[in-house]
Amino acid sequence: MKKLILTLFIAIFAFAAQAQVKTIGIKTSAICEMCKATLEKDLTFEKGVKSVNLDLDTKVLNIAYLDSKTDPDKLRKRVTMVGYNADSLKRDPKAYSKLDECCKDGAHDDELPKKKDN
Amino acid sequence: MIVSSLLLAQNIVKGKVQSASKESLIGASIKLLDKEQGAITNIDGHFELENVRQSDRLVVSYLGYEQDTLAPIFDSEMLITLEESGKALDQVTVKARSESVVDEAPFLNILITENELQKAACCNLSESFETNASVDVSYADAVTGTKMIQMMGLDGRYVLISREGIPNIRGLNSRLGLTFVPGTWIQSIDVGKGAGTVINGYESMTGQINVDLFKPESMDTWYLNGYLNSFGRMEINANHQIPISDKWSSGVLFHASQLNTEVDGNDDGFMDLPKARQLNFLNRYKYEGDRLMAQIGVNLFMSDNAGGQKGFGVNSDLSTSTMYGYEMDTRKAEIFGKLGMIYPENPTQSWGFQYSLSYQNFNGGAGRRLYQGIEKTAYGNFIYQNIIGSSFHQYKTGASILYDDIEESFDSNTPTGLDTTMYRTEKVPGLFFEYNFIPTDKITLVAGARTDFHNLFGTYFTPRIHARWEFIPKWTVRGSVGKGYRTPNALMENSMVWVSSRDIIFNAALQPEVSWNTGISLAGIFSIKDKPLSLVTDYFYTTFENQLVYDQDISSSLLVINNLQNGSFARSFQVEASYPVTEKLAIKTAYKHYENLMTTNGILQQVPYQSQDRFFMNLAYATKYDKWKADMTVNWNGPMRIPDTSGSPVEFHQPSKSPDFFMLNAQISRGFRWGSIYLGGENILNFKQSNPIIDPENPFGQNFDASMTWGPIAGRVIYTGVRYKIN
Repeated sequence: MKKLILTLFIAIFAFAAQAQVKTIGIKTSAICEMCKATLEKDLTFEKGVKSVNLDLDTKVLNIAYLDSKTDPDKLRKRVTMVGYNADSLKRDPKAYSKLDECCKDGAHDDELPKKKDN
Repeated sequence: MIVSSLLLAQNIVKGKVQSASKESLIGASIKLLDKEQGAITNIDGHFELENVRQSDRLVVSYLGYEQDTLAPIFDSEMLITLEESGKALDQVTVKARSESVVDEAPFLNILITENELQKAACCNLSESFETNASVDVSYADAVTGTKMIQMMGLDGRYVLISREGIPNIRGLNSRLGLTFVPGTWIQSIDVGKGAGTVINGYESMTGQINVDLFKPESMDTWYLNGYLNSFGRMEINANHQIPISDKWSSGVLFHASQLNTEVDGNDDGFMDLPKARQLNFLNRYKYEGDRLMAQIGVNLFMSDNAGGQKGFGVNSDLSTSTMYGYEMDTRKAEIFGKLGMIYPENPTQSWGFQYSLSYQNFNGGAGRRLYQGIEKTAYGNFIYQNIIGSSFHQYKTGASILYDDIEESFDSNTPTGLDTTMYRTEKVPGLFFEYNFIPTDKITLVAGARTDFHNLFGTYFTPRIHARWEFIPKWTVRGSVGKGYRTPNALMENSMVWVSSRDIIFNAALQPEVSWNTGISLAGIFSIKDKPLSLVTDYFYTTFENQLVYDQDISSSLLVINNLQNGSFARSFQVEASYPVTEKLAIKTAYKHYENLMTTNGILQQVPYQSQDRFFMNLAYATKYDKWKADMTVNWNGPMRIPDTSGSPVEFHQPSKSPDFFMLNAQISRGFRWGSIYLGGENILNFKQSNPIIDPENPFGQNFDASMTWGPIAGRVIYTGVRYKIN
């Protein structure tokens, strides 16, 4: 029975996905694994969002979403509400102040520079 | 062993680990995050690690200090300074996605986390082991609704069940106590197989189950849960954190539940499970200073159960009712706490004191049998921890006191039945010492012993040894041997026999049960398609020097309670494998074989109501961040021996073995930012023991027996619920 329900859900999602999935990359101010988890987790539960992945090297948050349920502006707005800059939108200062210390500006400046890829 | 095909530069990291006061830390552990590689600092605090990559992270830990995670430095020697940890007495904390064997533990420990616990949404500790292969759950009888747990094929009463280190489910509540701990209060459960550490007492004969509740300093501000099932059971749970100051915190845990409907799926006129209501409240305060840690809490509990023939209610009177009834009203009040001290200038040293004072009252009975039990317990345990020279040699030592005052009365209200009043006061001061030898991160040896001075039964000497050896990377062998003791409580432990016409013959002089448990286990990880297949296999042997034998084989109209005359032993074998098939789907499967032989009716034979073979499988599906979760658990229970009924009239004869059967549970949940909603089913195949009650038409007659239960009584149940968190 469980499998049936599961298959049903997957089928519905797959169907919906075929219809109208779009992707967007939002440049954020995320700086560490903690930020990645916070942002990804929050956006996972945003209405209309199908999948989320933050690339820490480029700080770009890639989101696949259903354009019937949300739009890029809503998604950017949500990123700022979590406490991060989103493209040209500034982060919400209140949300930023609540972030973990390791996600604040300059928290990782004293660490070794990451291996340069470019 | 591992053939390295990696063509990496031989990147070597060298360094030194020291305390804030610049003292070298000897025996500190340096591990690579998510890898098996590691090193331990030498006598000068130095270490060297090979094959380190730029992307690796070093996890540095030392007893009494905060763990630190750092990026490696290759071109110069690293100087790592660890800060003293502010926590006294806390055991090693391990974070895991769900259930897992704790790698570093010298004991075979399986940690069940909140995530895993949510797979079984209902209702209390007795249901929390649904997705755990090491603890089996069985049905006591067809009336009281009691679920019993077993480990290694032995009754759960031989397992020490503690709440945050304090023995909690024992004495008169060793059967019912599992329902005293609501599932939503539990943060994690640690299941230890084999005789446990001597620090928590002599009662862990076959294992130890330690339950951690949500902690005042780390719990959600609000965690609300509502639950409803198709039998009509309703639950409300609320956890609330009350922040007070930097150093003080407080938490409230609350549970209320009720089942008012009379469920009788098999139409025998008896409720399949009793009507019930429960209120449970816990509040604790915690202080965490720079040196001192203190905690005090209170737990208040009440539950009323009424079962038996339909129509029998909470307010019915057992001794006069024309209906056959079952009643159990329980009240409990407990004060508990901890006190601990650390020494910032000498962080390897700490001490802690745990205590609890409790009063419990059980009032009930079945049919014409009336029972009352009152238990007053005081418990205190002082633990001092330090190292000898370096952290290669660690020890814990201390003293404990147990005061247990038990008063029971039992009236059968029949000419031949058992009428008895029993009083007993146990006063048991004890001393213990446990030495840990940790020469490398691959080997741990724990040798412990305790001596307890029992006012009734003389001196208990309890030696226990545990050893762990990671003989090749990712493969660990463990061995343990240990002695254990407990005082049996025959009336409460046979509460299922109350719901039968069996006369109880109890002529045994009270003696402690004494056992030796020996075990060996192997845990390892294979890599299959770059994913870890983890395998755990264990074998345990328990033998009793003395045991209180509950013999139902002599006659189908008797329960004869006597001290062990001949041999009694149990062998258990388990093999368990788990594998993440994809990122989202994980599978866990286990096979178990038990041989538990005890002399009943003069014959050394398999203990009744016990599947000798069991099979378990769990499929867990979860999308990223648990937006969607689905779980399915299948249990196959092999045939069980049923006590001899050849003496009863032919129409009431029972087969000598039960059939085998499957149980299927499943649950699906959807996560949100605020929590989750879930929908699930237990016993989805709707398997029921047919005619679980013998002669249900004549409950006051000579052949009535509702205790011959080997399978589920109630059928399929569908449930739904919501979890809401505010932070």
